[in-house]
This record gives sequence, C-alpha cells and structure tokens, in this order.
Amino acid sequence: MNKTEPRTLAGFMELLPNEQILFEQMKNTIENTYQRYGFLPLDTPIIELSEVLLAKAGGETEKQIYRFNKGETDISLRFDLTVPLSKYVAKNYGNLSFPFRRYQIGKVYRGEKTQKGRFREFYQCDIDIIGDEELDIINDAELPSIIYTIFREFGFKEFTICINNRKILNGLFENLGQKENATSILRIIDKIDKIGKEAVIEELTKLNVKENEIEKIMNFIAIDGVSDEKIEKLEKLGIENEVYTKGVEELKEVVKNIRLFGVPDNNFKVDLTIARGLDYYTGTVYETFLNDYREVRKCMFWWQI
Amino acid sequence: MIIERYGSVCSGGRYENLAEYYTDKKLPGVGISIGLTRLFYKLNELNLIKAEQKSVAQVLVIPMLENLEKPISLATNLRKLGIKTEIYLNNKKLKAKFKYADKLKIPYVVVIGEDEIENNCVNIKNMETGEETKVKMEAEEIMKVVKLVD
Repeated sequence: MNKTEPRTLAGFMELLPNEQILFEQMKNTIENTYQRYGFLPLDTPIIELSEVLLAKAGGETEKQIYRFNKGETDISLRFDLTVPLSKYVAKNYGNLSFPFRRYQIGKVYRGEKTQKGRFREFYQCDIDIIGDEELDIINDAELPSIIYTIFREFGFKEFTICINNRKILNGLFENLGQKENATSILRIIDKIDKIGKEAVIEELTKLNVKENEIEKIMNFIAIDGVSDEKIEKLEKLGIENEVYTKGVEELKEVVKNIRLFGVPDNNFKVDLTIARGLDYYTGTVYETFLNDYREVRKCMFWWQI
Repeated sequence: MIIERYGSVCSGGRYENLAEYYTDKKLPGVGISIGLTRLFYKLNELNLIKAEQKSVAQVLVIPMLENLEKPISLATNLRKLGIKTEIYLNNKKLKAKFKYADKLKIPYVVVIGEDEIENNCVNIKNMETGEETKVKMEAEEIMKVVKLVD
C-alpha cells in the first residue's frame, strides 16, 4: 500500500505530550484566574456566516480570513474572539446581565504569511467587561490585576504592564489643530533618536507646524519619570483640550485603582509610547512586557491616529 | 550574547462601542487578550519555561498477576481520592514496566504481585529517590505517602 507522508500544515502548532502538558497547565492557570475574578465562560462557534463575521472587517484582516462555501452557505473561520463576542452580546442582549463579564479561550484563524513564530491557528484567551450604555473607568484598573495574577502564577516576577490612554495623544493633536498631520508628525518624532532634536524641529517647521506647537510637542515627548510624575507633568503641560484632559484624568484614575487592586508599582507603569495598532481602542490601552526581553522599539509612536 | 527580544505578551484596552455593526445599543467595553500559542512558543524558545513533566499520572500501578481484580480496585480507589493513577495493562517483564515509568517520569510506582496480595501490603517506590515505603494495600495509605511529597 502507498503510504502518505504524515505532516502538519505550516503555521499550525502541534506539540509533543510533555509540551502539551505544560501548555494545558498554562491554559488552566489562565482559565482558573479568569473564573476567580468572576468572569463567565463563553464558547462561540469556530465557523460563522461570512456576512456576520465580516460585518466590520476590511483591508488586511479580510485578506487573512479563511473563507469558503459549504454548499450554498458562505462561511468563515473566526479570526478573533471579539467579533463573535459582539455578535453574541447583540444577539442575546435581553438575556444578559450587565456589566457582562465574560472570558473565552479558543482557537482563532488567520492566514498570515508563514514564518518562524507566526501561527495561522492560535489560542486567544480573552476577558472583556461590557457595559450597557456606560462602563465605569475603574473596570479598566481591574484587568491589569488579573494579568498580574496570571503572570505571577506562571512564575514570572520581572514583567511590566504598561498603561496609556489614547485620548491623551488624540487630544494633544486636536489641540494643536494637527489632526490631519498627526501621522506625519509622529513619523518625524519617531526619528528623534536617530536625527536629534534640532533636526526634528526643523522637519516639523517644514511641515508648517507653528513654533509654539512644536514647543508643546517637544515638551510632551520629553515627559519622563515614574507613573505619578508623568501624570503630573501631563497635567502641567498646559494643553487646553477636553479630550486631552479626560485622557489624563482617566489615566490618573486607572493608576490609583490599579494600586487598590494590589498590583505593585514594580509591575506596572504609565508608558506614553504604547498603544495598540487596532483603531477601535479609544481610551485606556495596555501592553505587557517581560522586562529583560522587551523588544527594542523602532519608533516611539507607531500607530495610526 | 544576543538577548532575544520579544514584544508584548498580552494587550488590550477600552473601546467605545462593541457591537455597532449588529445593534443600535451602545455597549462600551474593556478587554485584554493573551495570545497563548505565541506566548508558549516564545517562552519555550527563550528557555523561560521547561516542559519537564512527561506524564500526568502521579502513580503507576504495575500488576504482576494473572488476576487483575486487586490492582484494578486499588487504582479505582486511588482515582476516587483524586490521585491521578495509571495501571500498566500490557503483559511485559517487570523491567520493561519500570522503564516505562522511568521514561514518563511517573513519580510513584506500586507493584502488586502474589506476595503483596498475600501480605496485603505494597511498596511505594519513589522513582526520583529510589526510596521505598511499605504500607497497607489501601488507597488511603498510599495517598498519605504520595501527598507528602506533592
């Protein structure tokens, strides 16, 4: 009989038993911790109607979707757990209690270019708190404490949960009347380590940014110190803009409450350079790094406003 | 030495409106996601985690008898007590059965042969230290020894 070579698709992780044991232990740690904080379990189908799953998608995301027809039905594999959550909450709105706190752990699929360390099928372990009409900012402070607990249980001590608020930079550019130029300005700022402060000022001038505005930008990117110092400096920057002020207030509130939730100052900090690439984040943003392994940043502000 | 770099291990944030594509209801939210597959891959690559455990069983029961009644009932009772227990069910020489336990690094081995049945006692072998503890052939007694170290 002809034998087929047993093989697994590139970008799909398959582990030996000892590795799988460890993987399951980590997954259980995450799940147990999510439950310990009172999050409800959710399991949505891996396959959804394309029309539903792709209601919002476009651009890069859409290109990566595993999409096919089964008979007449146009179906797709989920590419994250947030879109299925959106659908679920909208569909079951009347039967859910808000704030709705759910966790979901499951595989998602993205047909990314295959390369080392990139996966086309991977587990996401999500927690979200959904409010009806409104959701207090203190919720933003509880999530980092859950992440803190999980990474401590993994056995890590040296990690930092970085916190920022997107309203701050959005408000700053709104205040400067430079919303349209925001991306170009950020690109110039990013080069500061390479070309120096003077050259940055020169390039910003060429972009028709006014002298006093350049001064504000330079003061903003010079903000340093521990979390509380950064917040104080943000408050004293003299930016009169509603969005900016709200952003700083929210950040202050989150920092205050993170401490109440028991995260030590060693394990979190205000970092004005972090934000997610995804544009749907509108306020608090988080990223967590293992201290000794944090990637050297190619740029300071790398997201699109 | 080049230190391998690794980006964010988990990230998230606040969003204004979760389900605007499905409903008119305004649903603000905040969330965090851990990408476990990539996290596991990177931690493993950086040697920050070690997959040393090769079995989930705490105890391997090795029957050296024709009649499996006692070994099976002992294993069942251990399982009822929450001890993860495996019975070696293939007809091999004792040495091969120990080799199996060794390869999978199962922490404890209990051999049940004619002598054990006769004396109603078993030796619990700690596979790491080689130390043997003699106890009555009862799940509760075995649990005391197994739980001592765990």
